[in-house]
Amino acid sequence: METLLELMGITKVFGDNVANDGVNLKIFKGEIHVLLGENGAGKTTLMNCISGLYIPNQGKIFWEGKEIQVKTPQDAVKCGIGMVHQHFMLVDNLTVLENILLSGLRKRFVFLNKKQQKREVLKLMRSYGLDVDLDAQIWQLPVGLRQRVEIIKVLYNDAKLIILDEPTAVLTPYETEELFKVLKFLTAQGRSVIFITHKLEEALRIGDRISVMRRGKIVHTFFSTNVDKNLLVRLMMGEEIEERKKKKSSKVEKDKRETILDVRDLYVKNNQGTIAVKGISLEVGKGEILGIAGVAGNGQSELVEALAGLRLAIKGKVYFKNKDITNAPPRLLRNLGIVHIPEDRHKHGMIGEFSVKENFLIGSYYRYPFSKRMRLQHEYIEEYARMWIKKYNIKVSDIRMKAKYLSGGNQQKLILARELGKFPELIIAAYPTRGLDILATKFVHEKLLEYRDKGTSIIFVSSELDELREVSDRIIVLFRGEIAGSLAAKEADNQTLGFLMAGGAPLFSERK
Amino acid sequence: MSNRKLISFLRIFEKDSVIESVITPIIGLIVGLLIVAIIILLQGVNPITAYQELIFGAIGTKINLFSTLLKFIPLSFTGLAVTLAYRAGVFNIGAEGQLYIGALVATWVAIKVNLPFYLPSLLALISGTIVGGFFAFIPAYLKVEKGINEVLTTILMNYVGINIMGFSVNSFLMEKGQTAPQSPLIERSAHLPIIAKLEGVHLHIGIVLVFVIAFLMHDIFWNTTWGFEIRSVSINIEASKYGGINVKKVIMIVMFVSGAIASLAGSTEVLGVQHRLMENFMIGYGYDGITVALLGGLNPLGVLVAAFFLGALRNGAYSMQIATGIPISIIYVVQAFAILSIISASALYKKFLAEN
Amino acid sequence: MLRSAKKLTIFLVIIMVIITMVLSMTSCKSKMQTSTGLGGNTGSKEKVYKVAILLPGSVNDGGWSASAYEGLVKIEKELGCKTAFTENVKKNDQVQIMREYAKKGFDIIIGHGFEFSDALKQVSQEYPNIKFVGIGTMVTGPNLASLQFKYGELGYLTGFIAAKSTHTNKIGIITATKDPTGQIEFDTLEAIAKQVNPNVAVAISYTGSWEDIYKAKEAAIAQIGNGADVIITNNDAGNLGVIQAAKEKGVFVIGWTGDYYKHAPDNVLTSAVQKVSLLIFEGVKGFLEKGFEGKVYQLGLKEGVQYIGEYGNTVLQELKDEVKKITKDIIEGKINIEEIYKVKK
Repeated sequence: METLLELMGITKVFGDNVANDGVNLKIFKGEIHVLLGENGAGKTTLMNCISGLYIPNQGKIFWEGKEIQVKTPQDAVKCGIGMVHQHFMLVDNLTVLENILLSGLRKRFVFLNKKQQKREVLKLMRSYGLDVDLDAQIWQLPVGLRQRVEIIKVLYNDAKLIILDEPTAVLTPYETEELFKVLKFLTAQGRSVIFITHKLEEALRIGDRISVMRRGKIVHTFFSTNVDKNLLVRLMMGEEIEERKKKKSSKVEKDKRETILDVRDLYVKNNQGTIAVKGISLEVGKGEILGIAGVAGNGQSELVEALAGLRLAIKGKVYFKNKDITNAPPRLLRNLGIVHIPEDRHKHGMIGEFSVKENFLIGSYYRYPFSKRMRLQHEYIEEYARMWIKKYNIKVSDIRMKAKYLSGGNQQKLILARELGKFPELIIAAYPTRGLDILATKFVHEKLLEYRDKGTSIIFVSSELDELREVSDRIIVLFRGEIAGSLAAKEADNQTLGFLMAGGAPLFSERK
Repeated sequence: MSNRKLISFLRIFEKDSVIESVITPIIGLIVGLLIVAIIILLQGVNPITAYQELIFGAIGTKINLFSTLLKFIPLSFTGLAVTLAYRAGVFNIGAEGQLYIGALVATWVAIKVNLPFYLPSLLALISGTIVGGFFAFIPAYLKVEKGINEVLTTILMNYVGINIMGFSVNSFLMEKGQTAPQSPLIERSAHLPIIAKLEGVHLHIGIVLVFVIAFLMHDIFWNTTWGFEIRSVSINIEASKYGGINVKKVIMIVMFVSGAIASLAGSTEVLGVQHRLMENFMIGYGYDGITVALLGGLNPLGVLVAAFFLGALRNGAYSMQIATGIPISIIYVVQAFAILSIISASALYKKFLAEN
Repeated sequence: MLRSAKKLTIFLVIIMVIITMVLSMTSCKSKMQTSTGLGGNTGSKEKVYKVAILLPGSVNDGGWSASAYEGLVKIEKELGCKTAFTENVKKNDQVQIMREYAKKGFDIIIGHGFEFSDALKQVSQEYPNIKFVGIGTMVTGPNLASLQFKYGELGYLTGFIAAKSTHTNKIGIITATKDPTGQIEFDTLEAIAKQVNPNVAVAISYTGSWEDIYKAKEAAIAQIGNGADVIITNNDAGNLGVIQAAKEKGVFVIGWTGDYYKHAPDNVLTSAVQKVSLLIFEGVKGFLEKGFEGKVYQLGLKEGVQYIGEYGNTVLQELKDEVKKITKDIIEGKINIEEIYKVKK
């Protein structure tokens, strides 16, 4: 095997935090190399060092046997390293073609010959079987296609090494399949892929070799053909994880439950102005977890936002303990005891520029004892924040640190601690485990179950069927803004759910 | 909202820590002065002599210091107004119009009202702030309800304010029997209280007001729920809504207050210094507020420091011009280099942080 | 921040451009500044007077401030004074700048425009040994004088010319605002026109703006529509619009302030020329030669600071001679203009 890229002793330090600790890594030509590890293991940092976003404090990078200096992203692109970030670097209101051309380092003249460039891009797309409408604007595209645009961008710059950071986190199962096909095709052409993930199954399916990262170090590199799954997990976690306990279902009997939330015939529009939620009615009982399943984009987000007071319902009613709360503002809902763990933590859940301490204030800053006669009670707030940080084991060195510097899992824990700390009666949790590693996911599940057992009602939206079945008492499936089916979690299996998610038709056949 | 990008670019100026916000304008201006020293040298003038004159003109004598302080007051007010709006994610480019309209209303009230014991001046200041606030409220309302970019509307409102004022001193507010576009002199009883007097230079109570507002603002930003709301709105509107903040209300109130503060720059100048309103009575102070705010790290206390130094620079520039022939406009070059150096320094510092 | 050499280059280029701009700007200014030579009197033992002027605008404004600068240059050259100026003076800087000049030993400090009235009053009291002068102001004090154009004179002369030239017996006046000095001129104008020709009617339009050329033109067209065939325009930049309208409609026009003959030799009858530069020059000259009094000085035809400008091609020699005679009479005091406008009042 020929080596394309070799890292020697890469070390990157942020303050007191050693993100990468003398990492050695070899990438062969034509392989898919999976970088497996929990959140905060240092995977993304390592890749940013390769792609020129960070400059490592120590270590050397060799490209095809020669040492290279990667000081800026442009340097990396010039070598032939392309990175597809977890958060896409696309300009929303430009077309796909314009986004691709923008990234182009080659043939950059003052005046672009758009027609000729378009022909070239089309040729490129055809040769890799990547199909996107070049004239569509980015905001019009679903996430899967945006990612495809990112990949085309990288290929347009003729990348020999393509780095994908958690590419499947935002994809539907179908889109994931498509992505895998593309990656296999790319490696067959002699290009190499680094695939960052924390999902074991994925790693085993797609990877030619797997490197496990933990606490900034590469613990071991395997060929995926001869690997022990349990060993992999242990290396990743650094501890034996206990078998997931078979959870007890809700203590309260179904028919005796008092109805907490009653949604009747709700209609909600999405950002494009089309109706995304079409006449949904549902009930959530006291101490019940209602799971909401569905392929992303079938109205879950709009439903959640309408219930949380962030989006106007155009028709229908919502009752909370028999009180009409249709289109009530978020503050009123929170005062009633309804909390919301939002889908997008960067957009809604937290303010990255604020300190960790200030992030604990979101949604409760106006309440005693956080504030008294308009004045923030700093001492109390700090004490409160420290308490929850300790309780939820959030890794923070200083509560005055900006929240954007926390790792994704710790950010989610912060939101969870903040919202659950309000001792809610109803929790609306939208994809609360998205992007979290196994331990953090487990933590979230435990917390939800703990609150359910205390009598809190929970709406739990997720795209992971296993998780839904495991946590929920009851699951409803959304398809095109309507309820395609409702069933008790005990009765649900992945086939049935998948069947319903596809609208009663075989799951992916409708998609082109 | 296209302003988001501008806001996030300007974040490079933002200094939350008091020490940083106080040191930044000083360092920036020193760098600016050093660069400009080369230009002065190329003019054939010894920069040391020029700067000696500059410093002497600014703070060399008590009278000069007082004059500097009289410039410091309006610069602070507009700087604070811009800072407040920015901290809520709104651009108030309209301080100029707000201070003109504030001065107009204050003058009108001061002339018409006949009450004892400083009451007319108090009344004049208050009515000035209300109308100035309302003047800034209009763009805020258009922004939150109609989605019209406030940068545009506030700039346009400047012309409205300046022209209304110009019309007034040419018509109903014109001094009787005068040819000039100016109001009659304001009665003694409506002058602002004077806290210090020095042969001809009267330091009015406005300076106390500046400090009160700056410290109040600082306290509100970091110690109250209002400040929390304001700062949330500036960074992340979605998260603010999620957190139960009435974003529209915050923006409208903040702009009202910002306009009110800007209006004080005009009304205190008329009631405390010029004692009559005249066309073009203080050109450019509204726009200078933006410079002051950026130099001062968009921090109320930093604004005080920046306003003092800019005031001193301006005041000193006259004596420098008279003594050495270096034109007054050179100080705008100093300002520009100060801002450039702050941008570069902040960017380098951020890069340094990112790498370590 | 400067990641690549490219960015660095761009940055440097920008800096260079800024520096060159500043240099070119400052260098041309400094030439003016440093040309404060001592003039012809350096050899003698006479005291060299130092004169400073504060300008509301730029010396390049082509108007009010530029002509003051012109006068200042003349003072330096012909009176041998040492001069200095500060341009673009803002209202709230006036006092401070006057003080600076006073401290630096200047003998005469001039505020160029009514907006300096208050500052002149205040600072003249602080420095009783220095002479302060306002241009176009009304303020006076023991050491404070004002310089003005003598009003009525030009109104008298233009009224005479207009009344002699109209065929429709309708004279139009276009100006920007209704201010007392202008009013005196036009009252005199109307009175004298009626004296010459009792059938004459005079109408005034106010455009509200000194700069708006189109508004002035529209006003002129309206006047012409009403039958006016001689239009007097005192509207600064707006004058050009009025002359344009007169050209298009084939009527006569009399300009004010500048000499407009060249703009339309067939339509312009003449211009009421007022030389600000001369007003300042003659004023200062008067102080040096005849001594300083704290009063309002009115300078006019006699001192040559205002006069009837070049005549248009259509004006008959006969009328020119008549005007010449009236001018002489005014200068010699045979005609008392003050009486005319006072009667009108």
